[in-house]
Amino acid sequence: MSSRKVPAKKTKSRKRKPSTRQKAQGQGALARLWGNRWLRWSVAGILACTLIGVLVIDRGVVAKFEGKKWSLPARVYARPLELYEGLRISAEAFTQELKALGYRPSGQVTAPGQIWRSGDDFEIFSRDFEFWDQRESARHFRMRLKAGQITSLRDVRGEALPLVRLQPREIGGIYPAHMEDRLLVKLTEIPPLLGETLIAVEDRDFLDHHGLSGRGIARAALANLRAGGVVQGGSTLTQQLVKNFYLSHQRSLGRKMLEALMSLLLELHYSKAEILETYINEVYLGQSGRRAIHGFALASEHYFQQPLQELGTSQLALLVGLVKGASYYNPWRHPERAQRRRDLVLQVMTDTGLISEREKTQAQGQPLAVVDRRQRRSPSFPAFLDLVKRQLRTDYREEDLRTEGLRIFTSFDPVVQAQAQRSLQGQIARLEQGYKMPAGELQGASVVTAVGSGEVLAVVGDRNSNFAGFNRALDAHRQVGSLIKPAVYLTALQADQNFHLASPLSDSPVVVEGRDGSRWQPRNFSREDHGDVLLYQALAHSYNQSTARLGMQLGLHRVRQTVEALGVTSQVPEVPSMLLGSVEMSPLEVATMYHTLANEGFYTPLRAIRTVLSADGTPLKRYPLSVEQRFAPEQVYLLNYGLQAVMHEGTGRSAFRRLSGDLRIAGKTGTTNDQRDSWFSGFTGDHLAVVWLGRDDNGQTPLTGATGALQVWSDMMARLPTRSMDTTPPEWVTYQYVDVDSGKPSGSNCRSAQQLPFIVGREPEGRSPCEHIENPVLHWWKGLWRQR
Amino acid sequence: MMTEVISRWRPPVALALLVALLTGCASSTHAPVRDTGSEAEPATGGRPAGEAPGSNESRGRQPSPIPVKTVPLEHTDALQDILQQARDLYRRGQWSAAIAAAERGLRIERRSAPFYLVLAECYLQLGADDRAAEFARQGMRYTHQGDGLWRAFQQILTTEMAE
Repeated sequence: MSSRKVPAKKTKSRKRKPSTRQKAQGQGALARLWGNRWLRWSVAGILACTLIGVLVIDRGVVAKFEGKKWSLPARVYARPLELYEGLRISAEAFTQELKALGYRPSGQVTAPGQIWRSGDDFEIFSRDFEFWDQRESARHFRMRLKAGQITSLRDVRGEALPLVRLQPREIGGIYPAHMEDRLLVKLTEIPPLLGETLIAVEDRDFLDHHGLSGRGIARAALANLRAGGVVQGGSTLTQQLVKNFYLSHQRSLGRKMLEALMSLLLELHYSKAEILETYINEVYLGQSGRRAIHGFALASEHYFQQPLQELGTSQLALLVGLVKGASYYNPWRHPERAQRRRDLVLQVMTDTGLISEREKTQAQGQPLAVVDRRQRRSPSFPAFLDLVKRQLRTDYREEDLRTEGLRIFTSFDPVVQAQAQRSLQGQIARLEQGYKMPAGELQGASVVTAVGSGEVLAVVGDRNSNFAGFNRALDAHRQVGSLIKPAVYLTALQADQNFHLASPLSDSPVVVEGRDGSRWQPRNFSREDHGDVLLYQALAHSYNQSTARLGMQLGLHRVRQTVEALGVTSQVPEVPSMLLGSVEMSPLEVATMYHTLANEGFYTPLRAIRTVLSADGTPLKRYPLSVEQRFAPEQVYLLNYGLQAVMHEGTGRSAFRRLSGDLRIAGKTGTTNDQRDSWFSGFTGDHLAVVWLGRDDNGQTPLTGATGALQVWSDMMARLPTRSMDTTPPEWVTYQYVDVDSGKPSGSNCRSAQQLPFIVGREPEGRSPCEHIENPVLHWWKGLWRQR
Repeated sequence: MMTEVISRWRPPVALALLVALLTGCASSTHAPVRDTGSEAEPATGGRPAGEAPGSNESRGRQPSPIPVKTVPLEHTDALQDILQQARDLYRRGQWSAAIAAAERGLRIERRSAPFYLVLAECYLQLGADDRAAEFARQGMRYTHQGDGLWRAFQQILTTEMAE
């Protein structure tokens, strides 16, 4: 206390009017001092250094403000949902999609982001969005769903809408090392009330001062005193910006002085609008795991899952209130504290005339309306994002991905992904329980693609789909077992081979002797021999002996060529065991291989990315569809008939426990030695999915392809809105009745006769004896009436 | 052959009624489907709880696959709208944008041949003849021999081969 009084006295004594003598004495002393050359140089040196220092600081202030202000993460988006009459989507999946996009139910739909639902009828006000090809304006429309299909899509005036594209959901980002995230917004894009409230609460003299405000400090102190708490800060917005944007959070006198100097310099160079815009984008407003939420635009998405422009008075007040301490006023952890803070901000808004007393009362009566705590943690899709990042890294530098604010539009389908995750997780748990396996022992992965476009819709890399560890869908290279067999049969069906679906194959025991005297003797899974079987039956029932014999006859080299032409890039050894799947592949690679079959012989590289835009919306790169015919359509048609037979009468038939018998599907089971791997790969007209189950230690499981992976696959397909594959035969394919025991041509009224497709000119020859099913004359008459 | 010859002949109405009656009385027969019931990859080591052996197995069994044409969405307003956009972009010489629009259409209906034609024509304009030919080949799969689209694809392939 005493030390404080001393300088006060000194100050007082200095204020006394000095006498003429004293003045003369003082001037003399100053002159003497100034006469000292060293002192003169010292003062000049200090001034010069200060000036240089200020110039350096000034340059730094300008350079950062005018350069790239922030490192912006790359944002990854799902596919946009396109609505049109005929689209298959369940009401539940659609509602889920809207919820994930932050649409809010409303009694009266008047603004973007609102929906109303009554049974199967929806009224929606979509949001506008800048897509890669055009800006899609907000639309107010009505939609009707019936039996899982859109039957009506009209605007509110009743006019038919051919197509409505909803904004895509953001599914992740590639963040800078410091994990700061923000959505940039221009001052003209923010609600005026936000800027005004911010100024009213944080810096009422913002428009008048030059970076520092003595009056502001005094007023803040007074306001805080009146409110009985801290409602206003003493620092100007400019000072706060300088502190956050340029300086560390260290508290010292030197730093405070630097902050003041930089604030003055900033105000000297830039307009109030520029400073306010930067502040609105810079300010820290929360935390989402390791990710720091900066700026009001991102905070709006984080807390309300709504764009800033849609926020009401109460929501804006909460966001402004968070500026003072986002952690302290965290509305999830401390809702009462956050509400008190919001109400204080609303009071300031009323005091400064921004809102009326009535509006304040109304806003204070509203709940905080932040998104549900469970919904807050946005689901992560690590396996899919992993695939996206790998594809991006072939075209972009890691640094650019983390800092340039790229917008990456992918083919990710949230509906398919959710189902793929649910089926894998649910079925693995069920299988472990049913087979009395230790809980957690079984692992799995799955990949789902669209048929035709080759776009990857979903990837699951672990039974716990949120686990961002080893991505089995991409990195688990396991033997594929019988999944390789279609390549053997496709080789047999090629033009220079004399095979068709009814060619008889021997399924008796077979031995392959190597040049070194080694012997390979594959056995059927059932340890039974089946004598002579037809080619398509050997495929449908996945007989090993007949496949091995056929493959050896065709030649390992030819089969390997087929495997590679199907799109497999992994090493395929030319050894006999390759014919039964001793080849290692990842689920993604299996998906590539089977996609060539689903796409009728046209190879398409699988893609997860559609387009990449720069931060300002300039298109940087498109990943277009590319196709290459690798097999004749008629050959693949015949093979796909065999793969359909797998599902109808072969190893895949248990799929129809869950699937409708009307759904036309094709697929193949795969099981490796000692049942270490359980595989299934199959497709409908719209979707192709590959599922792998097994143990990470490559240990034995009790599962086959049919009892394991197929169960996951069929559970998933049963819940997806998917269509049958189109089985219209291509030109040069004809159907004929053949006897399924001998493979010889037969008739529709003969026992054991079945229609099989053949390439014209390569049909079986001869005639099978016919044991009539019914009276031939009656059959003939019936045929007549059927034809009519 | 025998069926083909007789099917040109139509029975008198009275006889037809008699036959219809007879047909109705006849015991129904199922399509001759071979049901081996064998499985190369049988369940071993038990069956998951709640999954009765063979339960519902027959429900999903159906005759072996025969050709069925699923109805494409080709004529929906959405596809017509996108096709119009793609063609407009093509006419304006915006090849890349037209390609993007055609791909958008194919995402909705992958068997819609007109979109393959837009792709093939755009790639021809961009000088990517090989690519154009591949799309023409795939598009042909979804047309009927001899119709307008088929001929357009054929022309692209002929041009490509000539070069």
